[in-house]
Amino acid sequence: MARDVPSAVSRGGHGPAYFALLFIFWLLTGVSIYPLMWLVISSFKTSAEMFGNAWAFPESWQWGNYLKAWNAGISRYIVSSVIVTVASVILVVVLSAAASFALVVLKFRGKAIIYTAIIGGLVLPPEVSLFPLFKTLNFLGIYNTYFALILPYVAFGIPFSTFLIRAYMVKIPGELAEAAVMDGAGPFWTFWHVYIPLCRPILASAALIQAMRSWNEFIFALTFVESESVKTITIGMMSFANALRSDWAVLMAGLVISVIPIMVTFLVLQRQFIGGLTQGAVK
Amino acid sequence: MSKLEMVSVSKTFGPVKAIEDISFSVEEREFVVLVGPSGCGKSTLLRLIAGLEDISAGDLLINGTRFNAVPPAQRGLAMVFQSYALYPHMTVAENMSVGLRIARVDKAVIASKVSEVAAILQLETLLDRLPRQLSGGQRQRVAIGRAIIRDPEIFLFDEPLSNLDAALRLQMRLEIAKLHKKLDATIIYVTHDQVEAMTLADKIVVLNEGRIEQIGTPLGLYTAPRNIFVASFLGSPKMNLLPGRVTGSDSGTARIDLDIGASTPIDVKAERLSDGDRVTVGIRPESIAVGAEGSDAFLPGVVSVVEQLGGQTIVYVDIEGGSPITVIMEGLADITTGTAVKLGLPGSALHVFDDGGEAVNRIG
Repeated sequence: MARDVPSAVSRGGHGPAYFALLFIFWLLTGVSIYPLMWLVISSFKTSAEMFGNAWAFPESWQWGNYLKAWNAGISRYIVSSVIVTVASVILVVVLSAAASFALVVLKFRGKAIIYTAIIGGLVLPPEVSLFPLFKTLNFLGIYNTYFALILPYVAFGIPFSTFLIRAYMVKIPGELAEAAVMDGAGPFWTFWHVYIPLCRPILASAALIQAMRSWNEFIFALTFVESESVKTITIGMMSFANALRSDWAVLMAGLVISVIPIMVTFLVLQRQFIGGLTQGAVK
Repeated sequence: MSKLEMVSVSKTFGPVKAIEDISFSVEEREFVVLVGPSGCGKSTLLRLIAGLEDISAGDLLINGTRFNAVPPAQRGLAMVFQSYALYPHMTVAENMSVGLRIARVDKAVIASKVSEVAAILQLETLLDRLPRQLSGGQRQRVAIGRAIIRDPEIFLFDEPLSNLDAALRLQMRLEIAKLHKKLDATIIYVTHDQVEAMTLADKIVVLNEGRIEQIGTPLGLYTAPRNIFVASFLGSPKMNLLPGRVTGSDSGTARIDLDIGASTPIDVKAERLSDGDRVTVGIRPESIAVGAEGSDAFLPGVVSVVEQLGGQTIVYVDIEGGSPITVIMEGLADITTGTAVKLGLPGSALHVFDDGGEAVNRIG
C-alpha cells in the first residue's frame, strides 16, 4: 500500500539541502525521461527531419509512421512477445508462490537445501547455459517454438520471484495457517484462500518484474527461435531495422509501439508494485 | 461426551525437552487452566492437544480413544489463538464461517449458524466488517465465534486475553466465564496470568520447565501449595518467603527460628524435619497483621512504600537483615512511609517448605 510521506519530511526541509535534493531529483528525472521523449518525438518526424533537426518538435506530425510500422510486421512480434510474456509470468508467479508457500508453511525435511538450490539459480548467468539449453530444447523437440522461450524464462525467473515472495510470506503470521488447519483446511485451501489474497502486492511485483524480463529478453530469443512467426519484439526489431533500411522514423514508431505494452502493464500494476516492495519497511 | 486425558506425554524439539512426562485429565464441562511462567511449555502442551505439534511420547486420549495421530480438524476441538488469527481479507461473517465452508455445509445452515453465534457474542452489527475495522475486544469475540460455530467437543484457548488492555481483559474474562456456563463447554485455557487462572478455572494445572508442579482447584492450590514454586506463582502480591531453621521438633510441632530474628512454633508433621534443618517459611501478604498483639511471632520493621488501591492498601515493610515483606491491609489504611511497625505472623497461616522447596504437611 502506498504511504503518505510523513509531513515532517515533506514540509520540513526548505533550506539549501532541500533545493539541492530537488535539483538532483529533477536532473535524474530528466536523464530518465529524455531518451524516451526523444524516441517519441522522433517517431512523429520524417527520417530527413530526424537527422536534420534532432532536437526540435516535428514540423508536421507523421502519424502515418505508426501505421507503416504496424503494417510492416511489428504486430506479429508483439503477439509473440505477449504470448511468451503472459505465459512465463503466469507460470513464474504461480510456481514461485507455491514454492514459497511450501517453504514457509509446510513441514518437511530438507527445506533449507531446497531453498538454497532454488536461490542458487540467482547466481547462474543465462549466457553460460546457452549451449546446454540449446541441446535440451532440440532434444525435447521444442526448439523454435514458444516453449523454447517460455521454459527458460520460467526457469530463470523462479529463483528471484521465489526469493521475493518467500520473504513476504515469512511475515504473514503462522497462526493464520494453523487456524486454517484447525478449521479443517488442507494446504491447497490455505494457499489459495489465505496466502494468495494476502500476498497480492508482492505477486503483482513479481509479475511485473518477470514481465519486464521476458519482454526485454534478448539472448535466448536470439538463440532459441528462428522463424519470424515465433520471434519476439526484441529480435523482431532487429529484423525490422534491416527491412526498413533507412526509414529511421518508422523504426522509432516501431520502438514506441514495442514499449507501450510493458509501460501500460507497469502503470496498471504500479500501486501494487510499489506497495509490494515497501511493505513491511514501515510497521 | 468428552473426557480428555494426557498420559505420560513428552515433547522434544531436537535435544530440548519441552514437555516431560505430563499426565492430567480434563473432565466433561470442566474449565481447566494451564498456567505457568513464559517458556514453561503450556502453549506447547495446548498445541500437542490441538494436533499442531506431534507428541514425542505418551498418549492423548479423548473418551478413551488414542488421538495422537488424528489430524487436528478431526479431533473435535476448536482453538482460539493469542493473536486471534483472523483472516485480514475476510469479513467477520466469512471469518466465523470458514470451518463450515471448508466442510461444505449448506449455505442456509451457515447463514443461520453465523447469526446465531453472532447473537451470542453481540456481533450482529459487525458481520460485514473486516478485522482491521474492529477493536481488540471485538476481534477476540470473532475469534471465539469462529470456535463456537463448529460446535467443538473441547475449546482450546491460547492466552486469548494477553493482547488486550487491562480494562478490556477484565471484561473479556467475565465474558469467557459466562460463555463457559452458557455453552456448557469443556475448555482448556492457557495463560501466564495467575489472576485469570484463579478466576476462571475449575481446575488449575501449574507448569514449570515442562513439568507439572501441582494440579488442583484454585483455592486448593492457593491455600495448600505443594512447593515454593506454586506458592509464589499463585497470589498477587506474591507470598512472602522467609528463610529459617528448625530448632526443636517434638510430637508434631516444630519450632522454627527465622533468620531475621523471630521464632515461632508451627504444627507440622515433624517426622520430615529434624533439628537444624534449613526451611523456608511462607506467608501470604493478607495473612500478616500489622501491629497485632497476640500473634505467634513478631517482626519489627519500617514501612518503606504504601500503595493505596482504594479497596485495599499494599504496604512494603523493610526488615533488618532480610528482604522487604509485603502486607495487604483492608480498605484505606492509615499508615505512612517511615512508620515503625510490628508485623504479626499467625502460626496457623504459615506454610513451611523444606530445603528442597517441598511443602511440609501441616497437622489438621
